[in-house]
Parts: sequence; structure tokens; C-alpha cells
Amino acid sequence: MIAAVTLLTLSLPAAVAPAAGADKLVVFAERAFTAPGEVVEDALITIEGGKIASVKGGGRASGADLKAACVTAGLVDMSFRYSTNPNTVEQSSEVTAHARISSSLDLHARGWERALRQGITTVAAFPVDRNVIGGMGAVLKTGGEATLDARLVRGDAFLRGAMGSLPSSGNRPSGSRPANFYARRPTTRMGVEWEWRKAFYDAWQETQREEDDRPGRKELMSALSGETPVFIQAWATQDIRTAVFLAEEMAAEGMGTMRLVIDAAAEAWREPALLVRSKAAVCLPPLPAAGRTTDGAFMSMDTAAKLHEEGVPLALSAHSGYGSGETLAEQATYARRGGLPFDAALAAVTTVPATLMGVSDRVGTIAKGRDADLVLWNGTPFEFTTRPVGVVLEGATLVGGDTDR
Amino acid sequence: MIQMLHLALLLAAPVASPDVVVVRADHLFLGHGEPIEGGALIVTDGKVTAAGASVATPEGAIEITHEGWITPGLFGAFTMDAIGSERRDDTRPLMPEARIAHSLRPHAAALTRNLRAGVTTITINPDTGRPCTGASALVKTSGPAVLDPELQLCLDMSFGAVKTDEHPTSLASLHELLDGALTAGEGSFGEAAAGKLPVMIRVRDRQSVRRASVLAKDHGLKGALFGSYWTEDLVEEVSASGLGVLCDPVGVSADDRAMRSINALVAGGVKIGFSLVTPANSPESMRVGAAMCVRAGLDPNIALKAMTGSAAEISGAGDHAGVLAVGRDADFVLWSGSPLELSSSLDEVWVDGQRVHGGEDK
Repeated sequence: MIAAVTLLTLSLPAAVAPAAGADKLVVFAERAFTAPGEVVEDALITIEGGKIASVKGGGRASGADLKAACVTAGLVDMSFRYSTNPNTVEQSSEVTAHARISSSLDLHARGWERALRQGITTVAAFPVDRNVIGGMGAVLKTGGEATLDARLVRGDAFLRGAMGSLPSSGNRPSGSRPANFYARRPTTRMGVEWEWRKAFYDAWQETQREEDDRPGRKELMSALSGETPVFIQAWATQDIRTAVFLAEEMAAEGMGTMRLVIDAAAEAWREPALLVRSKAAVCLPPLPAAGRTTDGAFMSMDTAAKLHEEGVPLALSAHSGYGSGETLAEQATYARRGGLPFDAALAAVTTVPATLMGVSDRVGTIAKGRDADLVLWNGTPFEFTTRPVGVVLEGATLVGGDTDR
Repeated sequence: MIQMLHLALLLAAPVASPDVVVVRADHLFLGHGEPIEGGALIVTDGKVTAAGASVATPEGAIEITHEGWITPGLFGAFTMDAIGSERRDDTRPLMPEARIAHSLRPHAAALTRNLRAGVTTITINPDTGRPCTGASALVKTSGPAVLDPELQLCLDMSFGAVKTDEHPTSLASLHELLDGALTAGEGSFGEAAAGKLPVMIRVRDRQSVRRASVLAKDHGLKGALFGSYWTEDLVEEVSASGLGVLCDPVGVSADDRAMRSINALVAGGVKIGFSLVTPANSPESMRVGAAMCVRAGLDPNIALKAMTGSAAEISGAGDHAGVLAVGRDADFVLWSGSPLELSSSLDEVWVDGQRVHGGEDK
């Protein structure tokens, strides 16, 4: 029985910039959870050139570079918020579908390393939800050289926007001469929804009329057609409804079938049938300490389990949490305690978000040819007595499970 | 009262104007290279006509022998204490043709204060905090005289240029604005993209250092980054940009990174200059910062150059200030010892071959 990872290199790198490829690395685990529902006992995972070269069961620990009780694929957080700085969103207009988060990223921010150290190796990045439609989100690795070239997994992975009270906060009606651009719509929830609808209708009509390309038209049309998924933040029931009804209206008008993902959907449990009907997926926010989340939305420990039972595709997120009790693995642990089966919990932090973001060919599972992103655990994952003790990112080893950095 | 003093200084301080003056000193630093032991300057009609180790005194010349050092007048990069309170026009994110020279207050006491600290040439700059704030100006503190009203195109690529209630509110838009303007190539942006107008790009954190370096490389910009604190890990990128770095002021309370970054830049072959950044800092503080860097390992000659020739060069003022060479304005300072020794005193300041501060008449 190997209780904990054997630390071959104990020194913690000051900054998490894994050296370009340890060429070959062999990881042994008593149990490798290679994908939801799949376990390989006494697994030897061979990594070459940053990719997984082979996974074999019935192996021996001797000779492996790293050894752990359990191994999973690197965790994926599709609602990770590395920064809450509003300088990621262009607020001079309330709809900026053409804005690209990739140009606003600060890859030197500490949030990336905090994610990596808790086992999150792939994340979605998107503008802070202060606009109605914030722009195009991207999928990135959390470590490696601090350049877009090195970290980008997929650009323009989804269109990002929000319902609820956040996009209208700070705005006011324009009466007298405006002092700044906040004298504008939306100032209410209905204004927010109106902006969404107007953006899609405008884009669609301009396309029908073959008019000049206004910024954002292509992005909105791609979202309408279902080619690019639409991630909409909506915490409370009324806002989740609004997002679903928006997608259904577009479909009913013959404008296209959106692939809807409702992010931070704390109250999705209230009307799961609505989500099933619309084939929308859900990403849950971190479990709040006192039940209430943003916009007064309530969620509890069994929210994930309820949605899973109803058949709603489910991802979990830690948002920017990294302290004790706030990590992504701990969100999965709470969901387990609330009744979510292990495989569904694993899927919610690996394969489901990877699939929703269109990057499942690279991350989310341990299989030949996939990126060698691994989390090493000191026991069965998503138990309160278990924690990540090592992280491998594209074959480079980051040893140490400190999350409080 | 302050203005009166200033006028009095200008009228009374210069010695009677001789045709030729020879100034000899134990150590002569010309703003480049290494200090010359036992060097001399010949000044004729306000210009340097000879400078070096073996300089003979022409017949009829006045000869001054100074026990100590001669350096070029110090170069004060990025000052705002002679432009009053209107430091920046916030009405537009891009103000490429705005000229801060029009804000210069010719009787500002700050000019005299700079002069008395040995700072004979300064750049006056619009404040940072918007993507493009306009053109800086090159100014002689004695006079004062505006030598160049369009010295540098002043840009800001840091989070400081992003506002919460004005366009741009995002780093992406900030980058697009500047990249777009340089690509379009009109007006001052065109001059900058053609390498004719140097730029000064404010950077504050690593992402802005990286972005600014890439922007400069992509568009072939000349000039300097302004901000050294976060360059330590990005020396390769900065070096590849072709820009120099105007270093953040190093105060007595500076932490290790401040000096490590500067030393790393120098080790990576990047040309550096110290910035003055008034009124937040006193003109005397530049010597303190240079001395602190030397204590942390910076080559003393590079520190001297970073206060004179190199600072002027990367600020686009290399033809006007920072070095003592034949044909150049005779702007220099006599020190009791090396200016890098904080116990050294400033004895005299000369501008255009005239003593404007210090000496026996003071």
C-alpha cells in the first residue's frame, strides 16, 4: 500500500513554469481513473514528449518516476476565474461579441498557479461578466511558459455572456447629458435580455441582408448556428429560465439551435426539466457556505446529485477558489457527499467540461495520445481525507499539493 | 519670490563671458566610455571644442583646475514638475499630436531646483494613464529652452491605461487601439512606426512588459520602455524588442527586485537610463538610486551613463544631451568626487559654457 506519492524531487519550483519536457516519465498508481467508469489497477502510465504514450495495468511500482495511490486526468474547470479584474472586459459597449479574452489575459497573474497547484490543468478563460455579451472565451493550460502560444488549447471556444443583475449593475438611465458610457441600457434584467435578443436579431438580419460586417456579427452567427457553444452566466431561476427561453425563441424563429451552457447555475435544481428539454448543460458554482449565492440563488450539497439524476450534463467549478475548502476537488467532494456518484463527480471535473469546451481530444481522460496532464492523489479522489499530492502538466512534473499559494 | 530668485540667478551667476575656457579635473566622464583620469574640456562660445586626456591650454584661455569630477549635465527623464497641474488630456484615449511643451511653465521653481541638482536637460512628459498621451518635450533647465517639442510619443500599455468608465476598459482594447494606430500609420503613429519618432511605453507588470516588447518588435519601434521593476524574468523579450529601458526610480526603500531587474537588464545587453519622475521624487534622488544599484552590483560606469548619455540616447535625445563631445553644448557639472558617492557635493553647474550655479560667486 502506497499511502502517499513518493516525492522524488522535493524542491518546489518558485514559479510554476515546468521545464520543457522531461522527455520520458513513468507514473505508477495503484488505481488510475483513466476516464469516468474506467479504472486500471496497478497502472503504469508512460509519458513521452508531453503526451501519454501508454497505459498498462498489472504493473510494478519499482522503476516508476512517480508513484501515487491514485491518478486521474488533470482537472478541467470551465468557469475558472483567474482574475476578477474588470480590465478583461470592454465595457464601453454592453455587447462585445467580437472581443477576445486571449488579448486581455495576464498570464503572469497568480491565479493560474493557484489552479495548477490544486490539480486544475485546463480552464476556460473569459471576460468578467460585466457586459451582457462579453466576447469569445478561450481554453488554456494553467502552467507552462507564460505565453499564449504555449498555453492556448483552443481560442474562440465559446461565446460568453450573462443574464441576471450583474450586466446592468452600474448603469443608469440617460436623462441629462451623460458623464460616461454607463448612462445606457440595460439597467434591469429585462434590459439585459433585450440586449441579448437584439444582438442576435441584428446579427441575423444583417446576415440575411448581406450587410457589412459589424464587429461581432460572425461570432453571434456562429453561436446561433450551434457551431460555437454559448456560455451564459445565470445564477437564479428566473435568469436560467431567461437563458433557456432565449435559446428556444431563436430556434422557434428558425434562426438556429444554440448549444447552451448555463454557468453558475446555482438554482438549476429548481426546474431541471427545463434544462433537459432544451438540452442545456450546466456548470455549478462553488458551494456557498450559507446556501445563498450571487443574485440570491440558493444551492445545497445535493444540487449536483439532483441534476445528475435528471440527466442534465453537469460540470463543477471552483471559480477562483484556492483556499482550504474552496478547491475544485473539494467541490467534487461536497457533490459526492450530496449523493453524486463517483464517476459523475469525476466526469464533472474532467470529461464533461472538456467536451463542452471542445477540447476532449486533448484533455479530460488518460489515454494514449492525450496530453499528459495528471493529478496524483494520496487516496481515492473526492474524499475528505484525500488531496492532490502531485500534478503533471504536459509531462512536466510539479510536485507538491500546496494550494495556499 | 521664487521667480525673483530664479531671475537673479540667471542674471548674476555666470562669470564674465570669456571666449575660451579650459576646465581640468582629476576625473572627466564624457557620458560614454570610461572616466578619463586627469582630463580636460575646452569650451569655446558655449560649445565643447576639445575633450580628453591630453588637452593643451590655448593661448589666452581661462584655465580652471578642479579637484574632483566633471560629468555631463545629468539627464532627467520623465519630469512633470514644470508643467503645472494639466498633465494629461483625458478626453480621448489617443492624443498622439498633443504636445506637453505647451504646458511648460518657464518660471517654474522646479527648473531651478533641477539645475541646482546638476540636471541640465529634462524631458517633460504628459502623465501616463491613457493609451497615448502625446509628445514629450526636451527642455534645458537653464533658460529654459525647449530643444525638441516632439521628442517621444508617450504610450501606456499597463493596466493603468485601462479605465472603468471610459474606452478602453479592457487590456484587449488597449492593445488593439495601439496596434491598430501603429498599423494604420497616420500622423505621429506613422512617424513612430517608421522609426523616426521614438516611443516611451509605460509598463507596470509582467504582462505589460511582454506586450510592449512584442508591440515594439512587431512595429520596429525605437525608444524605451518606461518601467524596470518587473523586467527581471523578461529580459530576453525586452532585449529582442530593440528598446532601452527607462528604469523606475530606485529609492532608499527599494526592495531587491528593483535592483535585480535593473542588473538583469544590463546583463542581457539592454541599454538603461534612470528616470527622474518628478515631482514624486527630488532631482537629487537619481544619484541615490544609481548608488544603490552600484551597491547591488551595477557597473559604476553603466550607472553614470544611465544618468547621462544612455538615458538621453534611449529617450531620443542622444544628439542634444548626455555627452560631452566636440561640437556639443558645453553642459557639465563639477563634483567634489564621483557623483555615485553620496558624500560628494555638487560644486558647479555649467550650461552652454556658462557657469549657472555654484562656484566662488555663489
